Amino acid sequence: MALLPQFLANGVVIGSSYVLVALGLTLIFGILKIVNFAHGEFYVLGGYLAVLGSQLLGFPPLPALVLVIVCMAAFGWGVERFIFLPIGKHDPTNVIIASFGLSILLQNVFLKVAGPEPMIAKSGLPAGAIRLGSVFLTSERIAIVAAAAVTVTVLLVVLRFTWVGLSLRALSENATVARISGINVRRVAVVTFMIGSSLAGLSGALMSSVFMVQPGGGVLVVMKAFIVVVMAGMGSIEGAIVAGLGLGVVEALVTGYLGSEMRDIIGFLIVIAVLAVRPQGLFGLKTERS
Amino acid sequence: MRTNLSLLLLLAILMALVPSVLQGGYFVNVAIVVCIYVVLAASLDLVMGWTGMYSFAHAAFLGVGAYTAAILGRDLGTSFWINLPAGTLVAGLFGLLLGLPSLRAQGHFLAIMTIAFQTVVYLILAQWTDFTGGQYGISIDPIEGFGSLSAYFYLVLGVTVVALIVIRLLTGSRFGDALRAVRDDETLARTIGMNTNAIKLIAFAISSSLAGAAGVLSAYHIRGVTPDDYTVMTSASIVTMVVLGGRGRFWGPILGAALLVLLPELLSGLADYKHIFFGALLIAVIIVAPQGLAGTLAQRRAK
Amino acid sequence: MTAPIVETEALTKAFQGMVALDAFDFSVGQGEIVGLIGPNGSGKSTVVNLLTGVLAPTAGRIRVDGRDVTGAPAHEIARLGVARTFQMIRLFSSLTVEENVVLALQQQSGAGYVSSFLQSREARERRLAARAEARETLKLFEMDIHAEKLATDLSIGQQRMVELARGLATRPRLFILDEPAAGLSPVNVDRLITMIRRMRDEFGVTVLLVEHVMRVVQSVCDRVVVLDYGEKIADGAPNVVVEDPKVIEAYIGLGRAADA
Ligand SMILES: Nc1ncnc2c1ncn2[C@@H]1O[C@H](COP(=O)(O)OP(=O)(O)OP(=O)(O)O)[C@@H](O)[C@H]1O
Ligand SMILES: [Mg+2]
Repeated sequence: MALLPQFLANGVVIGSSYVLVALGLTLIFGILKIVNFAHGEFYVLGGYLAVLGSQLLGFPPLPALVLVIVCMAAFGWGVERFIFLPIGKHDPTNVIIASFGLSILLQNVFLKVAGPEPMIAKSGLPAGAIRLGSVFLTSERIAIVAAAAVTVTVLLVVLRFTWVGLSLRALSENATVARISGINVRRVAVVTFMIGSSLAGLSGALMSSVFMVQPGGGVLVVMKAFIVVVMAGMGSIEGAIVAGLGLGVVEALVTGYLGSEMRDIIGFLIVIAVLAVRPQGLFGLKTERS
Repeated sequence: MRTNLSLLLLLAILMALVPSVLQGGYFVNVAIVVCIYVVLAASLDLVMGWTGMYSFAHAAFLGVGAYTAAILGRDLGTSFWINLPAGTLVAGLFGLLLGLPSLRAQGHFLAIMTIAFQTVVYLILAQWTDFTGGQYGISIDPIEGFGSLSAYFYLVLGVTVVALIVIRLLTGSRFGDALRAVRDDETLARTIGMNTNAIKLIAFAISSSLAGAAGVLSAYHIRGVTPDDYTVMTSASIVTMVVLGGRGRFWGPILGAALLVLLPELLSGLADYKHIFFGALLIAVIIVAPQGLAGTLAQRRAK
Repeated sequence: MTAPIVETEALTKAFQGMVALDAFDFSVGQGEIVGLIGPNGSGKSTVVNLLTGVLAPTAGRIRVDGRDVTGAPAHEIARLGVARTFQMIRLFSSLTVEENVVLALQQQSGAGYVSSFLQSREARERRLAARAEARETLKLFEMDIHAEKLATDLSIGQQRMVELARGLATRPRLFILDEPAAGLSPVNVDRLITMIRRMRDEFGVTVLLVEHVMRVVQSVCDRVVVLDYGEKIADGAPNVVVEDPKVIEAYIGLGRAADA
């Protein structure tokens, strides 16, 4: 029991990264009605960019994060423009296959360019753990939570008060009405995709100073994000925040009390179980109209 | 149907000439790999093309078949002739297991669930060291009487032809109609009296059992099993073969598998970048010609 | 009235708390042509989906031929001889018109899957028989000329006819039509009226007709049931029902529609 607060704190750290990734996934799904299987690789790419910025270019933390966000937004633009746009929405099955292809492509590009060895980013923050009551956290971990909190707040403000946010919400609620009332659907779609991929990249960048970045690391991440979105209910930003933190905490407890060997297998089994029990979650109610 | 089967037999006879015409083990080895991937792609197409369900876990069944053979051989000393049907059967049972969620989940859900399933199977193969040998895997003794490479090739070719004939007969029968009906409109299929749940489960079971058979063949070919042969990358390669060749068509996956096994062999520079190439190819085909080569050819001819 | 083919008891369906059908009691007798009408969103298609097993009821019972089929899967209900058409037409898009009909027929009278896999003579003969039967039925709807076309290449009106042929070919005991006149030209509406009558008179099919076009309802139905907001508000002869003040109010939409 003495370790409980420590496990909870660890859970919040991991959970905040899930929140960021899941927010990206849920935004993209809300507007484009696609689940981007390569979203986990976007997260990994963010991690590599952070390594590049901090290790190779020697950027301090904030500029390194800005670099990640800018690159990921540009990358997201390219993916939307050159892969998802040409496929169109007529056949959702093709989108599934193409984004699976993108996921495979990126994993192997990472493997070729960065190699199989895991990497870690230098945060440039002071080393050593900081004590908060009975909990010890490194400054990186505290920074992750702080950065995630700032990002989520900014995102919520953007969604509430700017044209992007308004049209985004209008679109995810009722695409036809939104289109009729003159919202530029194309532009919103592109912006959403850019925001979504920046969020994934940012999350990966933040985590890269604590957890190793490796080519295949995205698979588990996209699954986790996916179940967060499913549990939260589709398009629910607040739900994704709660579910993301919740999943992080549960995982930290499993790791803490049951050991980390089984963690990944259990993680995947949770994915299967959640999807099998509540498959309609993500899409709202699966309607069967005649 | 007749022309397809005659063409298939003709091709098989041509293939059978490989060991005598092209001297040297290299070509025979390549021919064996082609056969194995043809079975894999054609069996995946039963689910992916004909039924319109997603499975990104086909390599898991390949692995289940291969490990069944290896473990049976190691622990019970059974021969290939027992291990082949056993691997087929056990993979089929695992297929039923993965088929169960397909009754409730569709589209993205099913796709992501199959990736999860694929990964769980891989993790078990890699981490349950006592049973599976972990990263070192298990080695397999050659089959008595089929010690020579060309003899083994004939065996593989025979199994491949049988598997393809079974697939051709299945898809040309009422079962094939049912698969297409499920793909086109499951609700409608149900309301005209089709038990679509049973159809989907059987499709998964048959598809994965054939993959299991391919797994046994490949395990005996490379004389052992290691978990890294059965990752999501292998699944992705099979998906690429099916999509490139053309989904839901008899010759599509055969063509796709043959091309994608031979291409990296012909262009030696490609072998290193195989999976990058496959990923890019998958995206490109979906954008440019989602019906694949066979589908595009058929459309041309129809015009 | 003759013994009912289908009968419901307090049949109720709620979608996430929204009650689309509320304690619906209803029956269709052998050989009847019953109309089911009501304003948009009153729950007509929900009734059809419940009766055919496409949706599972929240509460209540459904009996087909006296047999309790509440919650039974759609394919089992279909095998009891209940066929239907869809408000939004449904045909298998990768099959030809003829294959669409043959497929439905095969569910009733096809050879076994194993026998068909083995290409037995019986299987081939049954398939040929089904094709002949399909042609025959398509001819009734003047669709035999389109038999080789892909179903989705036809016009809406033609697709409706194919849906009717698909259902009739299986000689159902009960044929449920969900707004078959929608999208039909006046000439085709006349043809539809004739065909519905022939279905009953020549083929002995009992018909449940969901329809907005009152001309069709008035000219073919023996009895009409009216739904409003998921509740049955009238049940009787067509000419009586249309005079019913409650029905008139529901359609003109005074009262409840105004504050909805
Ligand atoms: N699958 C579903 N999920 C949620 N709500 C549904 C579903 N199907 C129907 N509804 C709702 O139930 C109510 C009744 O719908 P139904 O389709 O039965 O009406 P209807 O009488 O057939 O209308 P119409 O004349 O427009 O076809 C409507 O409010 C509809 O929105
Ligand atoms: Mg309706």
